[in-house]
Amino acid sequence: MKKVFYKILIVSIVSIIFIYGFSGSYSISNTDNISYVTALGIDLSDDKSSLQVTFEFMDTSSFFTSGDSSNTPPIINTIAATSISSAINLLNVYVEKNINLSHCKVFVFSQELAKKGISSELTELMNNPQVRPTSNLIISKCSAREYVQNSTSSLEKILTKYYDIFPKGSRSTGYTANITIGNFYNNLLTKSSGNLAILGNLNELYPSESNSSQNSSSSESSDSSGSMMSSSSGKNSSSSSSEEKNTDEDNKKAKKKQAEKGTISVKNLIAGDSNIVGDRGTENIGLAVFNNGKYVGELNAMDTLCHLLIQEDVISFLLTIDNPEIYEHYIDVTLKENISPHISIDISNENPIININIDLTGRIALIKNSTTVPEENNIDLDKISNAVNFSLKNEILEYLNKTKNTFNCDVDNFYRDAKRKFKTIDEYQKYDWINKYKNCDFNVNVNSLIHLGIIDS
Amino acid sequence: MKKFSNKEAIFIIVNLCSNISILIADQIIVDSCYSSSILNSIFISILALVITTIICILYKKFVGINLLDIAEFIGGKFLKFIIGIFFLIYVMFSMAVLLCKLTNCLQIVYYSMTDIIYILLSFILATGFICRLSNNAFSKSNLIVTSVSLIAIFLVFIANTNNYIYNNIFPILGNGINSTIIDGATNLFTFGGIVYLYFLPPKLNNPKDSFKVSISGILIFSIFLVISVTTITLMFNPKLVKGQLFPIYTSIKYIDFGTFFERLDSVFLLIRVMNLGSFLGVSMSLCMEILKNILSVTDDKPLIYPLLLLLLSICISLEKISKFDILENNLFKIIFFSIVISLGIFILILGNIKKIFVKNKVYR
Amino acid sequence: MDLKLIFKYVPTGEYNFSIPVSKINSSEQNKNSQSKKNIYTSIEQNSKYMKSEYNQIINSDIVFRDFYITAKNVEYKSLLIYIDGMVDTDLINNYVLKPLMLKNTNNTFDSNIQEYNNKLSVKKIKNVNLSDYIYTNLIPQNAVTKEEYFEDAISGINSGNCVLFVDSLNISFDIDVKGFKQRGVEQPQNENIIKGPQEAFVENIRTNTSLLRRIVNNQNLIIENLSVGRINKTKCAVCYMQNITNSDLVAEAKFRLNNLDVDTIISSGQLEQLIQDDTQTGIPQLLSTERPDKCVNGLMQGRIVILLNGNPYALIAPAVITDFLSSPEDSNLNPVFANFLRFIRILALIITLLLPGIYIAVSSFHQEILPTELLFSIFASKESVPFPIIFELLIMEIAFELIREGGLRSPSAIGSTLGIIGALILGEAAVSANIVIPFLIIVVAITGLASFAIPDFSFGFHLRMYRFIFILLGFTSGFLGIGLGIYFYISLICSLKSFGVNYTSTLFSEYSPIGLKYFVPPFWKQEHRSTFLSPKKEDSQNKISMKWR
Repeated sequence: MKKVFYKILIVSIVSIIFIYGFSGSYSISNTDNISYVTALGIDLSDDKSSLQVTFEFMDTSSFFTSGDSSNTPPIINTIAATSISSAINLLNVYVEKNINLSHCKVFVFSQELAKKGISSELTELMNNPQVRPTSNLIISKCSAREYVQNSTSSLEKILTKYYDIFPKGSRSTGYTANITIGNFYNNLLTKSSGNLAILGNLNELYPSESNSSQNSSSSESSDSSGSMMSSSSGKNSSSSSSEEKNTDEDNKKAKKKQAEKGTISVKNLIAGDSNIVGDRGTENIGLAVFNNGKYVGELNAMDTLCHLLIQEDVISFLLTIDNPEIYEHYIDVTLKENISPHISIDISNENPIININIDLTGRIALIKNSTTVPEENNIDLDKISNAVNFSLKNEILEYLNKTKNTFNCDVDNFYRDAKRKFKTIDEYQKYDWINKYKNCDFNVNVNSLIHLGIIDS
Repeated sequence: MKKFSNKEAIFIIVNLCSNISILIADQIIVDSCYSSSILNSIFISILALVITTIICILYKKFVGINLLDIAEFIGGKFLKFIIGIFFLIYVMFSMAVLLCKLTNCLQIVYYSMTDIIYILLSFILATGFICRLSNNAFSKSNLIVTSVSLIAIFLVFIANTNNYIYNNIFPILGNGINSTIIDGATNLFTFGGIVYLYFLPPKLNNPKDSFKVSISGILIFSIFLVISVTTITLMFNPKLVKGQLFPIYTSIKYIDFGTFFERLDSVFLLIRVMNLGSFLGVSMSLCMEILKNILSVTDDKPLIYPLLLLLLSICISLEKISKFDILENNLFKIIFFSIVISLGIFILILGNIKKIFVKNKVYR
Repeated sequence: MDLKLIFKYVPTGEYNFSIPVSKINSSEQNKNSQSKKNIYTSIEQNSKYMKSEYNQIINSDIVFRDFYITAKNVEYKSLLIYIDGMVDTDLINNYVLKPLMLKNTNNTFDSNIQEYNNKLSVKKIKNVNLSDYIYTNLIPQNAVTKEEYFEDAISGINSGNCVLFVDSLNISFDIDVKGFKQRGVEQPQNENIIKGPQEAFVENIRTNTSLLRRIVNNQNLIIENLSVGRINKTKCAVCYMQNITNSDLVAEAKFRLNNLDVDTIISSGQLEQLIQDDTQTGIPQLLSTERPDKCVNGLMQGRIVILLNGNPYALIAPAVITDFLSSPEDSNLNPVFANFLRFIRILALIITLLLPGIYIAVSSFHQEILPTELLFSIFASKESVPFPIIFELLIMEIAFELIREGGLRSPSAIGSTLGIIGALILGEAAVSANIVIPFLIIVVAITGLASFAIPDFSFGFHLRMYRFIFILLGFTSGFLGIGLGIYFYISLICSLKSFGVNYTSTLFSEYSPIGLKYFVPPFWKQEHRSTFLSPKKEDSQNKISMKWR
């Protein structure tokens, strides 16, 4: 019995020692002591020397009863600090729990900050073991705080699900891309290439809170260190009847604006050029272009589509082309890539030649003609196919020349294919691809096979 | 002495190599060879197979005895003692380095408010308990744990296919032939399991199977080395690899199947913890056996206590040396090549020569 | 006049009884004498001895029947001893007393009687041994043995036989006249299967051995009788197939059983604790079953079955880990279904052992694994609960164990009430009272269900115990503790041995991937017996067993 007693005693003592030893980590990582950030927005402060970091928290109380958070707006706090880590540190003082970034779905940087360069902020984020490399990176043309505040999910009841889904939906449109912070950072370390991020902006036609910050309950407080913190609730606050009237008026205004805007061609569509009226606070169309960690320009919807075609990152997309037979009429074609685009680089000349071959198949979605009654048409598929090829080729060439001339960076990562031509890294570095790219020539070849739509076939 | 089955012996070798590879060596290979890491890993695998073959050929004349017995045959108990101490140093050093590496990683990621000594103590206590179990428990459990670990690495390789940039293997020679082949040969330290080959023959049910077992173990590990190096090379920029805790762990953070299967890195750490526990158990049993051999004691169970204390003290002193991360790469390589490769093969060659000499003398 | 006495009875003095503490001494009283006493030739001495042994003055059910046997025209005083209630009185009357007491021609011995001897007819010698004569001619009973020692005679009486002492003979006759009431062969209470035999062992060892004999139907089935326990000398049978089972295994089993220095062994559980290799870990190393078909399967594989009188549970040795996760149903089902069930049981093992520990580790340290929506749902429900996670979990686990134990012990009449209370406690009420979160109820319920899916009771029990260790490890250090705990548990399992066989033999086969032997191939492919038992006969089937194909 004595032996058993001693054994139990030793086991108890060892357990107590370990419980004591790990209690520190338990106390800070326990669910009771943590609050999770779902979106992080980083702006440049007014004095341009520090950052304004916006934290979005979900109000979890609504999850308990029905899992429905549609009526409960997220909680948004903004704090000014010199870096993201110090912002988190400061916010831990104000907020009752420890901030944790392991469920942060999006990181939003303002365009202003992006122009200055975001390499150090990204390095800081990637050094944080809590940050998911699969979180999306968004550059907002408005301020990051406005973007985060106005992010709404009308079809998704839970905002975090919206953050998960919207970048992945881009594979069927081609107007934006699923760019993650991990891939961005991976490319950032390569001096040979440019970088892309999702481009976002407020929906102009949506009655946003950016203009009505006095409507929401806000409080500002300052502490002795001069950091300012403001908090507000999100967009979908419960409204009274007077606010309902305001919303109706806002809708009318929005519709009027939409009418004034007219139809915007897809070619030039970019985040902020909204022509949608409805419960859409923000929109994400196009991509932001970076060179060495600094924002240098943006790609519109068509440019983005061309980029995704070259990267084989789009499942299917809709293309509108002019009807080759009837003037001022158009044809909508649904296309998808058959096989990976074949990219070959010829470095035998002084200037490299980049050959791109893209193979597509498609179906006709719509042939717009002047009569209201559908007629039997002898549809010349070859002509349509040629028209698609020609249109796409021009768009891709225009896009590639833009990257070369305007952005001066290899956004499509052709350097990876160029590396095949060299045996060692030294040889490749001597070749100096970055500078050679500025003078390279492109040969784009698009082959498409068009079929009739389901009804006509 | 309890014997191992062939399968257990193979997986012991694989375990010893895979821990070094995942925690330290993969990073060093990719950092030094850049795009030619895969070539380098294939090259060092071939080199390891050649060295294994040489060791097995040199062992042919000594069936059923280990390196310490051969050292005793050459130079008596004194040489046996010296050789034993050298190998003990290597095994303890490798245990300490890997233990420090994983405990550092755990502390940074999950246990930032916990003093590292508690994490070290957890491993050391577990090792102590396991080495006290009878019936070669460590070798049987090692079979299960190593299999799970290898399956995990394979799954990581498969799950990350969406994230691979296949052109990362170009330029094919990386930093040049010098870096890939000549300097790259130093990456052979990944195959730390070769140390077990010197002590394997008496432990097998049939000592003549040692060649088969050794080659199988090295071959299986080579496949997984190539897989893990490929994963890292195809996923990351080499500059990104340098600063990471250990790259395979980071690569798991990128795995994303819908919104359900994500952030499985803690599950990987669970498997790593089990695997390191198994590694410590195997290595500690090897240390106990070396010590038992050189001190000529009958029961090796009490030897566990001083060895564990020694391991704990080495780990604590390594933690205090902040620049050790830089030193460990070179020091590990130096110790491996000097003790495991040079000294081991040298003793075997001397043993063979003496055996021929003795045979001729007897014949005359 | 004491007023208290009017309303109630008050005893005069305080009644105080306590058993005095006796010091453990090694005096002669504690030592049982090992030497056996021979039976006397004098009937008086035998009678005196037996009466003192059985305390005949105070023992009410021991019957001493004196009478005279006539043999060789000589009357011999005899004594029949038996225990009332354990014997069949008709058998005694008609087949023991009647032939012995009533004068018939058999009782007179005539030297002219000839004995048949193959080819020659030989005159019987005049002086015939009385004991042989009584044994061969006078007791028309099928099971009669001669006993030389009092100990054996007493053992026979205690087991329900009657013993005959005859004056001038220094032996006694142990006559089998058992007739005590016992339970009939019924359905198994705790090992139900759908497709298969529905017979179970009973308390009587002879009935149990007869069940085995019927199924085995082979003369090579050896059933060796031993007795265990110094005082109650419980009958124990070691059963094995002579042409299959490894002889060393049989010898080891008998060695262990014959070297048990205990006073009493009543249940097979006690016997199991005494003969198994490891008693510290709590992990069972012998299979305990009430099914004869499971025992016969074991016998045919080369295992040993140990039956204990008075207990309907047989022990099968050796047992490896896969045996505890197998059910007799597996051999009766299509192998696909059987393997599916085996896979489910592995899941059940993992869930029973690890789910609460993993839950607490994930909640405390590794919340990033959980999908965001689930995490927020847990968060939200946790807000109003004042207790830490470990406390909630322990409350629910202990409540579940209480309900389980209560369900076993409660009379059937209130069993349903217990179910209602259990559902109320573990269900809505606990959540509504903000004692626990709903997710935790699901975790505990799934763990409980999984523990019921483990076929072997002892194995399931040890998993239930070990899960508390994993809860503590998960709470202390998250996946670090769980990982080290899993590794240690696997090592513990691998270190065990059961009657010389490694506990994990079937997981590690030389020629197949790890763990594959756990899954059963189709019956026609099960050609070889398991090598870990080293059976004498390795093949159980021909390569082509379906010759009709």
